[in-house]
Amino acid sequence: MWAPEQKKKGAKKMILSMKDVVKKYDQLVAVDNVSLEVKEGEIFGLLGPNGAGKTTIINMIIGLTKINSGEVKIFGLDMKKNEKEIKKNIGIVPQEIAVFEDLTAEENVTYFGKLYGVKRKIIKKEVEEALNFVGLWDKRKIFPKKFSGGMKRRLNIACGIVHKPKLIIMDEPTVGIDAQSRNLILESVKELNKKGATVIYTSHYMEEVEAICSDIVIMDHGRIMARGSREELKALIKAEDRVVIAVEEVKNSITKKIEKLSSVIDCTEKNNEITVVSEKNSGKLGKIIDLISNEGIKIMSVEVDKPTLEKVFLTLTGRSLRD
Amino acid sequence: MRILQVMYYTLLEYIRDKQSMAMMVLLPIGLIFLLGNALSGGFESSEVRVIDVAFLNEDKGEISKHFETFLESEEISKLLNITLVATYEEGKSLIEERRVSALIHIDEDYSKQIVMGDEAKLNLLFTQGSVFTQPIVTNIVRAFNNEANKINALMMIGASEVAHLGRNFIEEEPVVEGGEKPTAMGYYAVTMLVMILMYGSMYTSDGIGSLKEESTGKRLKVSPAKSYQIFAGVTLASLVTVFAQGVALVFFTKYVYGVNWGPNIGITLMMVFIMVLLSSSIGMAVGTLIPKRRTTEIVITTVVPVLTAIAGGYVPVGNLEGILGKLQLISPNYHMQNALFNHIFEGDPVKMLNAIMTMIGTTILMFTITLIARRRYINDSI
Repeated sequence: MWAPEQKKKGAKKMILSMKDVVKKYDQLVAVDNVSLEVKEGEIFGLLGPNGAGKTTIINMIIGLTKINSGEVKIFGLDMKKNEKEIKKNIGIVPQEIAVFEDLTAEENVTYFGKLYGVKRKIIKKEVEEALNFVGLWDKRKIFPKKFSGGMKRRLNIACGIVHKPKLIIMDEPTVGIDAQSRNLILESVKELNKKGATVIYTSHYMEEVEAICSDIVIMDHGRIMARGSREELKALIKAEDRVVIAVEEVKNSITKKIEKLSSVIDCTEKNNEITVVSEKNSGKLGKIIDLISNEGIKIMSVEVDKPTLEKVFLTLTGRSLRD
Repeated sequence: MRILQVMYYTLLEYIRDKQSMAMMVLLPIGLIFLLGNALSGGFESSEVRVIDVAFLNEDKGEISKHFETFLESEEISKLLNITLVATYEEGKSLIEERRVSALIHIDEDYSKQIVMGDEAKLNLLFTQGSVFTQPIVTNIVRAFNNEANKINALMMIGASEVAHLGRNFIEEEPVVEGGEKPTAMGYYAVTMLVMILMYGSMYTSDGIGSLKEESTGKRLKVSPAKSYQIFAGVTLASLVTVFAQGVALVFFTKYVYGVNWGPNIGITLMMVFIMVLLSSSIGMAVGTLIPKRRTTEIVITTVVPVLTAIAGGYVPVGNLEGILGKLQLISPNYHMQNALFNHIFEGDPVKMLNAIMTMIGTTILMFTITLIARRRYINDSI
């Protein structure tokens, strides 16, 4: 059951712990000695390109795939010995849309609610809540085959959350949908987290993970490349600052004057845009702006070019997420 | 409880699958109509008209003489061509040579037993032949025999003579459906029902296939429901669906086409249920043994028409010999049809029971295979 109050008060419990987990398919090592921990109340992001091993990790957590070695504990319990107890408290939103086309939206959610042990006297209320949460209550009598891709994705979520699980696992829940539906889903993930659910969210969309996850693991070729908060990960590659200043007109050899400032590495100009590269955290932005203003140049805009997780991934793996 | 939940929602899905429903209900209704009308002439001329029968009367009593007279009567001559034989061995060899379809044998004490008030019987021996000849001969003999016993009982309480034996009994107890002979429509109603029940195995195999391959199946597997609960729920839903389709076909053909489904519709439906159990168990075994759902589908859609043909589902073939004969014996359709024909046309009850026992035995075998194969399948996941 979701309990937001507890989330605020209590110490953070360990929801998932994986130690030295290995999964092989013949010669292919899908997951290579992975260890990770997810604490209560987190939105934990698993980031990596297709084939990185994200879905295999998810399948191992939910008991769909056997591990070759290592240990997986969920809620501090072993899946083999406490399968029912663990499964009751996990909500799955799989990568593929897993809803029955010949059952209405309401029947789909009710079916999964019942399988997850939602009591008969509250099932209607819980189904209504879940469908309302994803904005499909008005469409409850409609068969999913008549839904758009985004609506199916939302129904997919409703089926996974109807029993109010402690841990929600979302495996690339936004694949193949429009921007509006994607935003709705991202907002709903945040909302679920606010209600007290811990979320494991996998994606190869950098901006999604960046927008919602508090703790992130970057994976590639079955291995963990880096782990930390957004800021921690970005700090890995943030060796320099880059500022782009748009001006009305460039004059008086301003770029050369800026270049002479200490900590400034490079200064270039193109189409009335001055790009200044300086040492990391040098704090020279104010001086640069003063210098430009003193030369009588009108500043139109200033943009600080921040490092992104995309760049982090590129730096760590040497390839783009969408390769 | 979870078994019932899985069963209920799977059943809802199956009921709403219009394409499968059309194939399982409308297709056989159409085929029965087409085959029944197109091939009815062939049925009337070759299968039902005159049956060669050997007759041995060792009794020499009054009652058996009435039976001889009865066999020579105009009504019976239309159905039976009688060859008198002197010994049992002679009659048996005629059967073995397939020169006659049946031997009617009256024991020497037949009349005496009836007069003494004992239960008397006429003995029958058949070739392994057409499904039609046996019930016709059996019904004629049984009807005479019953009448003889009945009239004797009447005599004992004051009736005067037994000279009326054999008269009008056909009207009292019709030989076969439709008054005197089985119709093509009736034949195809049985064989198409059996064929459709065999296609019904696809519900189970496909249900199991979807658990292995479909995203919904994976989602069910990671739910707190036990693997066996999901498996059982899906199988039960398949079973109920196919049985309902079978019952619908029986009642439709009974009331719209006027097909005779036997003297006791309850027994007919019970047989249909046993057949559904068999076809579902075959579907379970195939669905569990074959890894790919698509392959399962191909196997069933290829094998069922072959089994139907071998069992005489499209054209009556009688008992085949050689390798085809062996194939016929392992065809579930053959046993299903045998059981139904023997019940509907009141044929040999022993043969009917044998066919039912064969079906039950095969069902148990298929369940066992499934259980063994399933252990392997379960071990593949956690």
